[in-house]
Amino acid sequence: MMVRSLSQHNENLNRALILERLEGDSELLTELVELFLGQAPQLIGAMRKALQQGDMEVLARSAHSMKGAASNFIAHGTVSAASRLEDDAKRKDVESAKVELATLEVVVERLLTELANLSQGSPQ
Amino acid sequence: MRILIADDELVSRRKLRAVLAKWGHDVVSVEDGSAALELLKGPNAPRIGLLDWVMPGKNGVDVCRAIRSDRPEPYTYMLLLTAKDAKENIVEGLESGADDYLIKPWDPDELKARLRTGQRILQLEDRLVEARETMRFKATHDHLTFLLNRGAIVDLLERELVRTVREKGCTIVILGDLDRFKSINDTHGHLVGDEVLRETARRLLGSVRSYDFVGRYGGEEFLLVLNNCDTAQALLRAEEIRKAVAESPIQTARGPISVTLSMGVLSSRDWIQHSSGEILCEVDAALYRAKASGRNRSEFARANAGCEAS
Repeated sequence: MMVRSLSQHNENLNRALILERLEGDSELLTELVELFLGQAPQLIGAMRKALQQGDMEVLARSAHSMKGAASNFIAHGTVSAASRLEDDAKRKDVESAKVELATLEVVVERLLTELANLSQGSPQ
Repeated sequence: MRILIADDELVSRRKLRAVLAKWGHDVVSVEDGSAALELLKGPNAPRIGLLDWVMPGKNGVDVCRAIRSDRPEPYTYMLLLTAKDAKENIVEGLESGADDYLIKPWDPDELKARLRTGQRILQLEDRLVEARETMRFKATHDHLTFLLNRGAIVDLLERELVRTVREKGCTIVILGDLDRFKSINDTHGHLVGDEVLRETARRLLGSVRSYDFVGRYGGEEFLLVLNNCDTAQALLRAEEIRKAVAESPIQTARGPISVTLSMGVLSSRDWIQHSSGEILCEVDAALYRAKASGRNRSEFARANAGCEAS
């Protein structure tokens, strides 16, 4: 399956900016990362299933949730991939949605790795 | 401030909740619009709602519309949180009844400032409601005794008469007048007269049930509207009221003063076809008879005394 150019998939998360938006609370950051690490695979699973079943409504809603969740980490790559998938689902463009979901999966995979490092406090 | 947040997405909800709690707010969080609506319309409802736009079931805009059409009091300040940023979306959100909106991911400083605006508006609203309630109280109560004033107690009598006819119940109307009140004023002055009126009002209120009504009908005249159907009971209640006023002297700046009350008593059961004006006239005629037959007593308005309604 074709995915979008992989070079833009690193999020280069900005820990200082994320923390600033959490009022400097690094414990909260750790908690949010843990929540996301649990939630993201579930959302991806739900999106795969929805796409298989042609349920564009659930696909759009899950993509919207992924967009919202990732926006808390200012993860632009994930946010825009999820946003494109949400638009495809709303337009019921199944072919484009397949491509965008595959892209999103790759982007999210990298985001998860970056987040795991981020919450342990390693510099980005 | 008690704040409701509604967001179906876990990380965003947790983050918002944590940041608001850090600022000292009392936060309730729910996952969908229906739960948000229930809380915002329920008892002890949060005054501010932070609502995600896109949610399964009822979305944030649906919640805003429902709250604005329902108009629960006190006012609910609603802020839509949305990843949508197209102009038409913002217009739609505000037209649904939201007071403000915030684009996600939100900046804490901006959120804090917008919440301050919301709190300021709620404070203004509270002051307005308080002023309105004070005015409402003043418009319906006597400023000396704090009983219902004449207009309010007569309105209430009319409402009760209509209600008891509809519900096949009856209303007992008692018109009481302090005996020889003029001589108290003449002997001790109006300030002492006022003390006597205030204490009489307190005793009257203390001698009726919480669902009965007492009003100041005139200078030293009091109108009581009681919920009861039993004629024998009506006279017993009047006797209780008479005793409550007469049983001990009223302590005033000029020493203790004993007062008594004469009363006309009427049961609406006996006067079903009559207007409130006629009923007031009949009960006044009964009061007159109580005065004429020695005071400190009550007379029942049994037969038509030929009283003409004013």
